[in-house]
Order: sequence, then C-alpha cells, then structure tokens
Amino acid sequence: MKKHHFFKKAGLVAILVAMTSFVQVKAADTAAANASLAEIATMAGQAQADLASAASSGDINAVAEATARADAVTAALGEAVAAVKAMADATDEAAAASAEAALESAVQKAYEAFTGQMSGDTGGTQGESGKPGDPPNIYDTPWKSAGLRSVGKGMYPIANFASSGGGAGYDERDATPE
Amino acid sequence: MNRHSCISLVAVAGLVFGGVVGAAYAGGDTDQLVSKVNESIAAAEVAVKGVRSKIETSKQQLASIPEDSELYAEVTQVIADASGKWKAATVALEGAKKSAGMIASAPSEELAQDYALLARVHAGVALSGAKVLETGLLFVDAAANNKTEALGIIRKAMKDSLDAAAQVQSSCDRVMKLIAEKHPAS
Repeated sequence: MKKHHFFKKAGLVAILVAMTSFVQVKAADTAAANASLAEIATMAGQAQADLASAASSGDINAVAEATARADAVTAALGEAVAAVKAMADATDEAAAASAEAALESAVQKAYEAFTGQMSGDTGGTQGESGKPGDPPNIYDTPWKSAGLRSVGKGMYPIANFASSGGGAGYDERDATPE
Repeated sequence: MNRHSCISLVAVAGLVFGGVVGAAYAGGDTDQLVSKVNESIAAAEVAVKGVRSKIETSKQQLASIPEDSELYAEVTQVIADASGKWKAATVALEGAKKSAGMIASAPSEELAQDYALLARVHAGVALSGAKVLETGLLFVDAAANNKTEALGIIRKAMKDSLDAAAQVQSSCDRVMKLIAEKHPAS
C-alpha cells in the first residue's frame, strides 16, 4: 500500500515537473513567437509604404507589383497572428509544435512575399522575353498561339484582334508552333 | 501611452537583469546575436533618418493645402496619426540600442537572447513607425499635388500601415511582459 502510494506520488511529481518545464519552454517560445510576429508586421508596414511610394510615382506596373506583395505579406501576417494565438492556447506539446510550424510557415511566406519571391508570381518583367517563369506576352511575343488564333477566328470571323496599343494586330503576327 | 510603457519596461528589464549580472556570458553565439540585432537596428536607423529628411518638404506641402480644402481635415488627421507613431519610433530606436548594448555583458546565454529579442522588437517598432510617417508624408504629397488616383491607394496603405504598426507595438509589449515575468525581481 505504501509502495503504491509512493509510485502514485512520484508519478504526480513527474507530471508536475513535465508541466512546469513545458510552461517555461512555452513562455520562452511565446516571447520569440511574438518577436517573429512583430517582424512580419514590420514587413507589412514596409510593404504598405512601398505601395504608397509606387502609387505616388504613378507607375501602374509598380503599383500592381507592390499591391501583390503588400497583400501577400498582410495575408501572412493574418496567419502569424492565428499561429501565435494557437501557440498561447496550446495545452500540450503537439499543439504547440503545430502552431510553431504554422508560424514558421507564415514567416517564410511573409519574407518571400516581401522580397519578391512569391510562389506563382507572374509580375516580374511583365512579359519581357528571356527570363524563366515570365508569363506569355500575348501582345508582343506570340506564344503557341496558332490554336488560340483559330478559335478566335472561329468565334469572331470579322474581328482582327487588333492591338489597342497601335501595333500589329494579334491576328496579323506570326503564330508560334503549338 | 504605449511608447512610455515600452521604454519603462526596457528600463525595468535593465534593472531586473542588472541584478543578476555577475560575469558576462562569453558564449560563442553572442557575436552572432549582436550582429543580427545590429542589422535590425541599422535598418530602423536608415528608415528613421530617411523619413526625417523629408519632414521639412512635407511641412511646406501641408502649408500649401488650403484650409477650406475638402482634404484638409483628412490630411491633418493622417499627420496626427503618423506623428504619434513617429514619436514612438524615435523612442523605440533608443530602446533598441540600449537593449543591444546589454547583450555582450549578459551573464548567461538566456539573458543575452532576451536582450536580443527586446532589441529586435524595439527596432521593429522604430522601423514600422518610420514607415507610417513615410506613408503619411506621401499622402500629404498626393493631396498637395492633386494626385487623385494615388490618394485612394495611399489612403488604404496608410490605414494598413497603422494597423501593422499597432501589431508591432502590441507584440513588443507582449515580449517585454513575458521577459519581465521570466526574470522576476528578487
């Protein structure tokens, strides 16, 4: 009976020690997590200033790019806020680890968006040729357009898909092979 | 006011940590910590200096906007909001430098890292505050020069920038509270 009581007490102490240690680690992690959150929010503020600067310059392309970056950083900030809250609310190590991973992901997304490494970023050179990952430029560089052209002709037999910029119409330029 | 609590907590943290200072921690990571923190502070300093140099021009632009202009009230409100963040930024920059200066003399790695965190978040408050003012000055410029298309974008950017700065300040306050709780005065 005494032995059983000892093991029960020792088990309780072990649980308390583990919990205390988790709480201490969590406090340290929460401080670091909040510092990371502050850094993402700082990036969001910088991205907004960049957007304002682009708007002030009147450069439409720069505004589009800055808007995409600012939106992506703000989205990452939202994810980070949720992750830090989840971290604070975590009652076990698994939940804390999951929240920490979500925060790391948000930090990465914010950094990539802020530095212009967004996944799916089709801004870049606005279709100038020669750079990998650029979107096809349907206005100046026909790109596998033969099929598209025939569809266009079929739908709009009279239209010539003229360029609004005054250059050669879409229908008047050479198509690239499919 | 947040900036007051920010600075006073830095001072409190200094006192709390000061009580346990014995021999300085000479761990190998200290140089790296200091280096990273100095990068954050340098970025904040550049932003603060950059926007400070634009204030005079902006004052002249503000003076050129007629008081009966429909934008006048909005511009003065933007300047008031930006001014609050700017003051907090300049105070926080000093706080960041103070905290950074304590890293090398911290008696343990844990304390060194806590000072580094304090320095980082204060540098963030400084940088985000400078960016709010920068955005605010761009709003004044757009209003003074009738950049009507830009105004709408800058207006929204200003609001989002203020929200971001508030988040930075809130995170800074939270970090200071957590660190103070970790090192209760004995």
